[in-house]
Amino acid sequence: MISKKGKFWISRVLVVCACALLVYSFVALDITPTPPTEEFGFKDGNQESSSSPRLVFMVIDAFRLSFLTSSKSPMSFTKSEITKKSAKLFDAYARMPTVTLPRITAYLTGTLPSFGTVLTNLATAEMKTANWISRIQKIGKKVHFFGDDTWIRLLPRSFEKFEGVTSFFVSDYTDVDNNVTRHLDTELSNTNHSWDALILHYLGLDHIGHSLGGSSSKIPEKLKEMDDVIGRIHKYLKSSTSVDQESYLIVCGDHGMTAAGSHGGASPDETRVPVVIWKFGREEGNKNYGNQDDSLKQPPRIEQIDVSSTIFDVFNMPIPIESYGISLINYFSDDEEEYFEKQHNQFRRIVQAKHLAISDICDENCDYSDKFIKSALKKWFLTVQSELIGSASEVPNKSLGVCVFLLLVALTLSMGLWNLHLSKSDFFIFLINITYFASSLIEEEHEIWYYLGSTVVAIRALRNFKIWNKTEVKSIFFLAFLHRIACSYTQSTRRRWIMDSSLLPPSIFSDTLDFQPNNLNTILNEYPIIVILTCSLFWMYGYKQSKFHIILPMVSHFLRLFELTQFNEVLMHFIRLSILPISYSTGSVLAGCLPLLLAIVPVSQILLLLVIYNMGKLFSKLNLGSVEFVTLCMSSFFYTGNSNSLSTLSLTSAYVGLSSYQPILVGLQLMLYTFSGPILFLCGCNASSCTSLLNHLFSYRISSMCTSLICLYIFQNHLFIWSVYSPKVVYDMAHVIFFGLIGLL
Amino acid sequence: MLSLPVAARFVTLSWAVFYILAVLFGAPFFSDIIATAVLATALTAVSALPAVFLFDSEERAVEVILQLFSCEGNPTPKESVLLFNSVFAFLGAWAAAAVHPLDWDRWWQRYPLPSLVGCFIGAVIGIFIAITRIFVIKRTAYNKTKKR
Repeated sequence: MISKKGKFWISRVLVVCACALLVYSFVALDITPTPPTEEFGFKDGNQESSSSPRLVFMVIDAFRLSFLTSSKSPMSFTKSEITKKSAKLFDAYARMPTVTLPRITAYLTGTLPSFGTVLTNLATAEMKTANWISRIQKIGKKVHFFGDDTWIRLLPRSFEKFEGVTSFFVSDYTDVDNNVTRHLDTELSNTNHSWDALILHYLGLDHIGHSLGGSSSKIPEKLKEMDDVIGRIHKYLKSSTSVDQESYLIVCGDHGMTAAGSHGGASPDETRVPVVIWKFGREEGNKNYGNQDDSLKQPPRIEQIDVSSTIFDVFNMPIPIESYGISLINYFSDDEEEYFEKQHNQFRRIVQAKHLAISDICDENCDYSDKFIKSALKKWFLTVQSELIGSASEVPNKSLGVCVFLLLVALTLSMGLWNLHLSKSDFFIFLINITYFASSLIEEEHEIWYYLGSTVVAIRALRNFKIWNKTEVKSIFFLAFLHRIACSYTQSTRRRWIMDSSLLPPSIFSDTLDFQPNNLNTILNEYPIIVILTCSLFWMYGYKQSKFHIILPMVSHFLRLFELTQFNEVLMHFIRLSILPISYSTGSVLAGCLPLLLAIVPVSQILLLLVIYNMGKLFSKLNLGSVEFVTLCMSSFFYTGNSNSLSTLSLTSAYVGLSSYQPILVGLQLMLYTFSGPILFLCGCNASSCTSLLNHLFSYRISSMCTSLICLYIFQNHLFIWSVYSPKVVYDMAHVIFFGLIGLL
Repeated sequence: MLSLPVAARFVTLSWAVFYILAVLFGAPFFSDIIATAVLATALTAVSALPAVFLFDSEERAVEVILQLFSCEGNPTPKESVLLFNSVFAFLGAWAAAAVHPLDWDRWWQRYPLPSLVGCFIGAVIGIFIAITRIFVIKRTAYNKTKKR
C-alpha cells in the first residue's frame, strides 16, 4: 500500500505529467505533418521580363469587421474607397483560436495551425512551413517589416530591414504604433525604391482593447490614425506605380475584439475581420468587384488562408501543397481561365495527396471557359476547402487516451486520501461532469455553479431547520445573500447579456414594473475615489489581520487614479516583495498574496473580493461539508467574470504596475487575478484548516479534466470543438494545476 | 379552514418567502419583477392556499410544516397529500430551471415559463405519489390485520 504522503505526491506528479503530455502532443501536431515540399522550378525568367509586383501588407491587430463597416466608423477614407469600388472589401473568417500567432500563420502559410498554438502563443519558434515571405525572399526580393516582433521570431532571417515592437506590453498604445509609422517617411519616399514587400503590423488597437476596454474613446481615435496611415500608403502607391507595374495594398485584421475589448473566443465579433485589397497600376481598371451596390454591408465571405494564396498569385509563384486557400486573384485580373486552372490543379493535387473522398468535377480536359464549369468549380473549391479545414483540426487520440489513463490513476490515488467516514453525498459532486457533454452548458458553466451554490445552501438551511439555532440560520441566510450578490456582480458582461436582444426569446410578461439601473460595475467605475474609500473602510472592518495589508493596495489604487505611475511602480514592487514576509507572518501564502491581489483588481471589484472573503469566513463558521465547499469555491471562480472562453482572461490586471514586459510577473499576476475568487474564498475559510476539503476539490478537478478530455475525443467532429471543448480543456488544465498547487501550500 | 385574517397573513407570508427564495436562486431582482411575482403566486396557489382550507388552527399548520423539515411526526392522510404536493411543486420549479442555459432560444425557455410548468407538473406528481402511498399503507395495514 502507498502511504498517504505517497498518494498525495504521486497524484500531483501524474497530473503534471498528463498536462505536459497533452500540451506536447497538441504542439507536436503542428510540427510533424509537413511533408517535404517539392520545390518546382520558379519561373524566374518570367519574373525578370515583367516588372515585379509590389505589395504592402498591413495588419491591424484586433481589427474587427464592424470597426470598418459600422456607420459610426471614423475610417472615412477606407470606407469611401470601398464604396467607390477602388478597393475590395472581404469578410474574412478568423478560425479558432483567435489570438495573434496562429492568425498570422494562417495569413503567411495558408494552413490552419492547431489549437495547441494558443499555448505556445507566447513562445514563438521559427516557422518551418512554406510561406510567402521566405519564398519571395528566396527569389531575391526585399522584404521590410515593422511591427509586432512575433514576426521576427517567426522568420528571423527573412527581413532585410526591420524593427520589432513588443506585443505583450498592453498598456502602451501610442509609442507602439509611432515606432512603426515613423519608418514610413523613409519607406514611402519616391526616390527610395528599396523594397518589394513592406509589412506593417500595428498593435495599438489591440492594446487599447486589452487595457481600456472595447468601448474606450481611444478606439475611434486609433481607427482614425490607422485610416490616415492607409491614406498615406495609398497616395504613395498610386503615384509611384507605373502603368506596366502592379502594386497591391492589403489591409487586414488578425482577429477581432469583443465588446469588453478582449479576444480568444469564437463570437462573431472576434472571428469576423475585414480584409481590404487595393490594386494599382497595370489592369487597374479590370476588376471584377461584382455588381453589388452594397459592397460595404455584404462583403464576400472568405477564409483568412485565402489571402495567403492570393499573395502567392500576386508574385506569380506556385502555391505550396500544404496551403489550401482559394486565391482571390480573380477579383483583380481578367484572366479567369488561368485562375480556375491553377486553383483546380492545386486542389486536385491536395485531394490526391491527402486521399480525400471527394470526387473531382472534371478530369484532365477541362474547359475552363465554360460558365457552368466555372460555377461548379467555385462550389467544388469551397467543399474541398471546408473538408481540408475539418481534417486540419486533428485531435491526438493516442495521447488523449494516455492522459485520461494517467488522470484516472491520479483520481483514484487522490480519492484514497479522502476521509474514511464518507457520506454518499460526497460523490454527488462528480455528477456535475455530465453537463460537460452539452456545449451550451459549458459556455454557461457559471450559471450551473451559481444555481447549485444556492441549492446547497438551501439544503443546508433545511437540515438546520429542526434545530432552529437562530445565529446559525442567520449566518446561512447571510451566506445565501452574499452568494446572490456575488453572482450578479459581473452578470452584465456575460455572453447572453451582451447578445442582441432580438436573438433571445421575447419577454412573456410586461416589464412595466422593471427599473433598469446601470449595471453595478459601471456605477462603481464612475466614482472611483468614493468607491476606493468605502471599500477600504469595509475591508478594514472585515479583515482581522494587519490593517497594513489593506492600506498599501488602496494607496496604490489612488496613485494609479492620479496617474503617478512612477510612485505606483515602486509601491507595486514593494507589495510584490512583501508577499514572502506576510506569508511567513500569517502562516499562509494565500494571505500573503492578498495585498498584491487587492492592488491589481479593477476598482469595481474590490468590494466583490470582500464579499467572497466573507463567504469563506461564513463557510468555516458554519462548518459546511465538501459538496458545499466545491460548489462555493467553483462559483467564486466565476464571480469575477471568468468563463470557459479565453476571451474573458483579463490582461489589464496582469500588467498593473509594470512598465515593461516581464513574463514571470505578468504570468503571476494573470494567474492571481484569474483565480482571485478561489484565493479569497480559501483565505476566508483559512486554507490550512480545510486540507481534506481541498483534497475533494482536487479530486473533482481531476475528474473534470478527465471528462473534458473524453468530450474532446467524442466530439472531435463537432462544430464547436475548437470554440467550446478545447478552451474548456485549457481551463481544466489551469484548474487542476492551480488546485494541486494550493494543496501544497 | 383558517380564519380570514390568519389565512391572509399565512398566504402573504408564504408568497413573500417564495419570492425571496426565487431571487436567492437567481431570479433577477431589478427586472422581470412581474414574472417572479407570477411564479411566487403559482407556488403559493399550489402549496399555501390548500393549507388554508385544510388546517383548522395556525399552530397545527406550523407544526406540520416543521415536521416536514425534520422528517418526523405523522401527518394525517390529507395533510400528507398537501405536503407531497407542495414539496414536489417546489422541486418541479427548481428542476425546470435546467432548461435556461441551453442555447435553443425557444420562446418557452424564457423565465418563468419552465418553472411555472415545472411547478404544476410537480404538484400533480406529488398528489399522485401521496395518494398511491396512502393506498399502499392502507393495504398493508389491512393485510396485517387480516393475518392476525
